Amino acid sequence: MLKNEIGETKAFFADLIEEIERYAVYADALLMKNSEKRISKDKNSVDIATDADFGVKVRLFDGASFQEICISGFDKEEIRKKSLEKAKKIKRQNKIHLNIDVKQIDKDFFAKLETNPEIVSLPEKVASVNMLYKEFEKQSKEFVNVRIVYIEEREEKIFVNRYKRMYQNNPRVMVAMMPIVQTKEGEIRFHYSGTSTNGFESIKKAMSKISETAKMALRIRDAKKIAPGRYTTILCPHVTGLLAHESFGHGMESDTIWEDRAKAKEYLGKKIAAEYVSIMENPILEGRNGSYFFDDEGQIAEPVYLVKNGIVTQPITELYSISRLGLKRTANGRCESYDHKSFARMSNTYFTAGKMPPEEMIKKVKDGLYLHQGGGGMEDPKGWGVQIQGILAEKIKDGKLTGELFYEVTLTGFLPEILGNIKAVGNKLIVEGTGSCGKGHKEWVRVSEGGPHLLIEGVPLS
Amino acid sequence: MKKLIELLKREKLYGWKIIIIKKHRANLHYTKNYEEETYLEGKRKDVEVTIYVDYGKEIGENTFPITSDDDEHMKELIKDAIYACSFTKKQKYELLAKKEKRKKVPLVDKQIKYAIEKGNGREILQNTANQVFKEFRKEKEIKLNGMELIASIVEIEILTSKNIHINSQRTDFYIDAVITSFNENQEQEFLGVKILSKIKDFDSRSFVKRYCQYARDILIAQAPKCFEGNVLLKEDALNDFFVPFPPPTPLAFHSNARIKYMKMSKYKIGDYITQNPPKGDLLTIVSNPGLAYNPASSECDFDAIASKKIMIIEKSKVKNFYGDLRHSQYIGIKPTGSIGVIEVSPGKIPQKALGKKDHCEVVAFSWFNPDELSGNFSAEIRLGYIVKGNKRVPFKGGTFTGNIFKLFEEVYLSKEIEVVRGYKGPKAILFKDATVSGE
Repeated sequence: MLKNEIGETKAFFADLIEEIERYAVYADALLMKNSEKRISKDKNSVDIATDADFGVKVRLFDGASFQEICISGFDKEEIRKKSLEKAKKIKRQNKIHLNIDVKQIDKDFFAKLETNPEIVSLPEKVASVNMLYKEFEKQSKEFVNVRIVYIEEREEKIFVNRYKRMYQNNPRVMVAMMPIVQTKEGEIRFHYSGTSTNGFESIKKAMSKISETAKMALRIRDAKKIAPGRYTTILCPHVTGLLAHESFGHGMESDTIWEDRAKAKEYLGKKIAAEYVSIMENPILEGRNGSYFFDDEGQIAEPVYLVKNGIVTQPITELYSISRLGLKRTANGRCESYDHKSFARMSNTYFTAGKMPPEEMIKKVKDGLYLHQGGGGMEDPKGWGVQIQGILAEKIKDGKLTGELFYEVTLTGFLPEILGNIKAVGNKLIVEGTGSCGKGHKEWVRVSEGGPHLLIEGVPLS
Repeated sequence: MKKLIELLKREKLYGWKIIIIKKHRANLHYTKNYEEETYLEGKRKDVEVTIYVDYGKEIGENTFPITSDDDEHMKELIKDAIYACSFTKKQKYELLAKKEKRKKVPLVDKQIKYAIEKGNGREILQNTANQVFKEFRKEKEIKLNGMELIASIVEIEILTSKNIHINSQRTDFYIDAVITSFNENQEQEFLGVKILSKIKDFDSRSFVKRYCQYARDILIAQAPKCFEGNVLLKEDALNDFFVPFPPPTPLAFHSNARIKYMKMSKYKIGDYITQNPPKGDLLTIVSNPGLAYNPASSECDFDAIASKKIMIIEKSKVKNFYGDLRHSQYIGIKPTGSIGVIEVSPGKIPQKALGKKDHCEVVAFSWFNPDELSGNFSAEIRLGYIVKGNKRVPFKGGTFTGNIFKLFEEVYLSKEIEVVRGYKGPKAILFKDATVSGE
């Protein structure tokens, strides 16, 4: 969006909010303008497609509940008409005091990037994707297929309420690489690696991962099923991230806490892990998949500790539930699109780095497993049960990786027990995940996964 | 739209198509104590254009969205798309030459359609919510800690360069309820979800009854011990097994022409889907997109191909592939359109007889998410029962692990069938020699 366009939109929303608030207790407006270019390549073809998501959400609060009007595009007349129609029907109530941040901010935020993908030509982008593909072919002729997907996104948002007039521009370039192999028995398997950065530099990063990704893909042909049991386990940064996000983070969402759905409520202010364990939620971690400057409810983003030195400290919050709970607000009110409600959602959630080098961790394990990568997980805020699926694991014997792999492993268990069994935290923080996260099976938002390595005893794997 | 079509016609293209999707939704969200938190009315319109450029034996194609009806903007987008086509050259395939005869599939609930069109979305959702509240108030030691209802109408319009013009509509109704059971010592919850096309098909009594029972059983359930033997799937677990999230099931994934063309399918026509010849009941699966008022049905796909009923697996052998316009031609089959409702042929044994011997019964997974390529899965059990004689003891936790293709080497299907979202088939399925990992 051009500077004058941003200014005019802010002014239009500010006037509208003022008019609506003659009737409503509170109002805000959010414009979302997202674009996506996707280039995908496999053995047979290259496909290019672009997509867009563009619309406005106006929220009105009557003192007890929200009413939201969501419209495609930016038709000022229609937005004004529908919003005021709704506002005039409002009956003010005095039930809930919203915890609105009253600091006046009029600012435009732009994410930093090395190479703006919009100035890179299409031929260069296609050539880069082809180059990644060819590099896999150079590594081995034994792949059944290799799929490369380049995704270039730009997320622009304008948020206005009586205190805020803000714009943010978050570009993102993701590269996903999926070599596919076949086992001797005919089973088709795949390995995955991805990169996410703000700019075109994602290609360079992807290139540096090819050799390792290709080698691992060929190795998984011989991977076996694991014997169910409890194992001493080292989690790689990706699986650590899934544990922080799926198993812990979802249970810390303030809307689930308000609805008495989260076991975390019992643990607020209490010890859950050793003092060397901390978990952070950080939307402003630069250049990551889940990063932003302010949330969809106009809260300025800042890093917060969810667990600090083993103590559960702060939930991840959105406006409605945190107003009812009376706790500190964080910038985690996020919606899938302009026509969806905001919920309390994570961004970049990770264990903070500790002191032990990963190599030293491996040396400490006599008989156990190293978890290389996970597929995804499911939340269970009420029971704080852990479920992380699609893990690739490697046996560790006498302090060394043995090369023996296990495919499609699932990590389960009771979260406080698993956190309590963390014996060491790695010294390198790697947050590179390219995930998207749903609440239940819907409401998808962009997040990252990552963290340091973790050494945990007695992890239930099957 | 006229202007866009004019602009497309000016270019020398192999073809083009425009897809317009309009979605109106009403969304009502309740928090605990039956309090309303948010009511949302959404109105969105997405316009997507695909153009095809002829390069002799090859074609290029590119898809882009239209977010403004400004002439210059549209001209620029078309120019960019033509340029992008030069990078996507691929084996030529024929575009649909004329409109196919479509089977009319009733997918519109007039009650939802009129309510949303007249701006009464809140009313229809509130009425349903009130019925559900009434049922919950009858339940003891149960709390409703949250509920969300969504009603939507989707209109899809497809226009192509071959003068094909198709309009279709569908409605959807979604409800989820956070049901918490409690006793003196603890609380447990179950998230009940139902997705339908018609709001009248929603039976609040049976919804509340089933999920309150689940929540109560979870409250007294213990972690399981490792189990090997007969595993019986039913209710939500069975639905998730055949219609997992994200879809489709590995059983149908390998039948997709696109996957076959990408050399990722293990299926060969006439071969067993299993590694060894199967025992017990044989598996027959039909993809049926024509089942009335089922959210998985559709009249046509986005290439305007009329959705066709097709048998993909017959007596545990690969029978047919299904596919879109492009990939069907690439592998030499007639395009069938998208996959529909998974229809599994029933067996001959009554459900009661299936569960006669001692077994492990699973009614709900936390998340059944198989690897669609390998068919391997390891799903945590949200609620199950160990059945020994007349005793049925609930358990939670542990994982049902295995490989979907391997499981069908010995399976028994119930005679009775059920129809739910995306699935029509046996009410219960018994797998022999299956594994549940536990303590």
